Amino acid sequence: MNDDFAVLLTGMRDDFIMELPERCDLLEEYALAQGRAEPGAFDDLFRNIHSLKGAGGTFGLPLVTSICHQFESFVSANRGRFDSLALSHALSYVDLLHRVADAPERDGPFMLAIERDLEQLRISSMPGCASVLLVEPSIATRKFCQGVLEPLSVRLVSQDRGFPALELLLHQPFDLLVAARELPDLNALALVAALRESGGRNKDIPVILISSNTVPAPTYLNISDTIKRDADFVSKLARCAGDVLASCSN
Amino acid sequence: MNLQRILYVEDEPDIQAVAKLALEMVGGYQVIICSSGQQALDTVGDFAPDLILLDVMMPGMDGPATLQKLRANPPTASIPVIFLTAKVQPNEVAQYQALGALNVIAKPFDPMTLAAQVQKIWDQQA
Repeated sequence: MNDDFAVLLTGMRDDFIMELPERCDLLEEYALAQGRAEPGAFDDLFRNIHSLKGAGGTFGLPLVTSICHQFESFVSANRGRFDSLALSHALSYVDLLHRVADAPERDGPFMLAIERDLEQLRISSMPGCASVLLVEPSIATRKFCQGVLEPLSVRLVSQDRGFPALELLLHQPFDLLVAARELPDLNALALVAALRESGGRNKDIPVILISSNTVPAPTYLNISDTIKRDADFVSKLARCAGDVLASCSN
Repeated sequence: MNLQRILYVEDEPDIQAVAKLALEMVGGYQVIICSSGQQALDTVGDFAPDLILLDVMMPGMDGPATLQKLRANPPTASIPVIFLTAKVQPNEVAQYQALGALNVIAKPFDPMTLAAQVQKIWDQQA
C-alpha cells in the first residue's frame, strides 16, 4: 500500500510542477494589482503565496517553500507601501518560482543557483533584516536571550533541540546562530560541525555559543564567541550579537 | 479505543488531497476533509470523528477559533484535536497545547510518515 501511495504521490508532485507556471502567473497578476493598490489585492497575493508554500513543502519541493516563505515575509513587511521597487522585488520572487518550475532537474547546480539568487534577493528586498536562529533548551534562558536579540531588529527563530535546529539551518537562510553548547539530541558542537560540512548557504555563518563550560571549542568550527553563563551573560550576549550582526552587514 | 475516523480541516486543496490519501492508504483510517472551520463544525456531528486534525492558518475561522467552538459545544467538547502548522517554535507549541490541542504536527508534513505521526500522538494520549 505504501508503494502504491508513493507512486500516486509522485504523479501528484509532477502535476503540481506542471501547474506551477500557471500559479506563478496568478501571483504576478496579484502583485501587479497590489502595485495598483487594488482593494483585496494584498489578501489575494498573500493567500496564494501561503498556499503555494504549503503545497511545495508537502510535495517535497523545499525550495518552493523557501522562496514563498521569504516572499510572504516581504509582502507582509511591505503591506500598505507597495511602491514600484517593492513591485519589482515581488516580481523577482515570482521569477525565482518560474525558474524552479522550468529547471530540468530538482537538485544540483540549477537549484543551487536559484538558492543563491534567493539569498541575494533577501538582502536587496529586506535590507537590515538579519535572521538569527536561537537554540536553547531552557525556557527561562530562551526568554532572556529573546529579550536581548529582538531589539536588534532581527527575524528571530527559536528552537530547543539540536536536530530540528539543523533541519532549519539546512533549509532556511540565517545570518547568525546562537546556540547553547549542551542541547538535547545533538549538542551544539556536533550541530556546528554538521553545518560547516553541509555545503549549504548557511555553512559559513557566525556562531555564538552559550556555555557554562569554559573548555574552548575546536578551532576548525570557527566559533565567533563563547559566552559564559554568569551574572553578565545577558549584557555580553547583547554586545556580542550586536557586533557580529554589524560586521555581517558591512 | 482504536483510532479509525479522522476529520481533517484544511483550506489548501493540494494538501487536502495528499493528506487524505496518506491517511487512508498508509494509515488505513476513514477520513473526511473539510475546507473551513465552519464546514468542520457543520460536519463533525454526523461524522463523529475519533480525532480532528486542524490547520491553524485558515481564512475566516482559523484553527484556534474552530477549536474554541468545538470545546464550547458539549457533544464535540472532548474530541481530541491535533493542530497542523508551520509555527512550531517551542513557545508556539506550548500555546497550542494550552488551548487544548493534544499536540502539533509541523507543516509541511512528510506524506509518507503523516499517518505514523498521527498514530504516535494518539497512542501517547490513550
